[in-house]
Amino acid sequence: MEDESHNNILPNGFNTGSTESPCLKTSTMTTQHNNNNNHQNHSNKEQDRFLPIANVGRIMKKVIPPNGKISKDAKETVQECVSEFISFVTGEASDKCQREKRKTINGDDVIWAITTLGFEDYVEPLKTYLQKYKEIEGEKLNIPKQLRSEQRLHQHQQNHNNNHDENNNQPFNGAYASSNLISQPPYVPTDQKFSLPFSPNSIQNQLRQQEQIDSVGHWYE
Amino acid sequence: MSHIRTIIKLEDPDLRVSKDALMAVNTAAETFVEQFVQEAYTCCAEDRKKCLSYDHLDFVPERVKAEDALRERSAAGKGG
Repeated sequence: MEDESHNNILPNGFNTGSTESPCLKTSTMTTQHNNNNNHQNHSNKEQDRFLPIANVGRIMKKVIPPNGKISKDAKETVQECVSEFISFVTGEASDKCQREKRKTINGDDVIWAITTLGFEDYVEPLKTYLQKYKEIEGEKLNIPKQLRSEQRLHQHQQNHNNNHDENNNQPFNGAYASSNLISQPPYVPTDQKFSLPFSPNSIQNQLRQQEQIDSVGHWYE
Repeated sequence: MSHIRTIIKLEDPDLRVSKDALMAVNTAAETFVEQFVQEAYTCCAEDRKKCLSYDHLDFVPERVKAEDALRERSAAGKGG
């Protein structure tokens, strides 16, 4: 028996025994697609490391004169610097928390870290800001949610009642108000019989006379 | 605020940050940008330019390509 090389030739003449199978093509396509996805994910991760450039640009524009411009290069650099600053401060605060065997960083730790790292100028405004923030948060915490909602509801009802009372006290001056209509005497129904210009008997007599007329309209004699 | 939390979590995922700490970092970062840009714009004004560019941020290290940095490093290693 001879060994025949099976080239898998189909009836229509196409050779399926090619070196590059369609399966390979699809697999290469999928790998390319995955690479694109990985690239997108990587760029997203890259963006997560920084604050949004629009926000950074807005803060930068606040400082410079209205006619001043900022290059994209400068914005990107400041964006990176801010992220580095945040990591720098947080890292220092985190070390302090670890030394004191605490798991949560609070505002005071951040202020301490900022002072330690040589940003003393920021401390005073920060303390003021934090103080105000704590006061606002404290007010929210002191009053329970349910009580707050009840208070709101009560206030809303009071406002509604006040508006209703005002509407009742004010005279109604609409187009169809009773004061604007012409005063008329009220209608009183009476059993008064009106006199008819003819008597009912006369009509019946006329009907009897008409019975004697034929269809052509001649009188019977 | 969420972005700041993300940046902090990237440093240490197990770290917990209170709301007031986030507020403090947020305010500090804003103040930092303002001060940073003010100083940079002073350099820009001295340069008689209206556009603030990378060159005016003179307190930021200059950008160096990776291959140049490696070349300099290897040269310094050989020289030493």
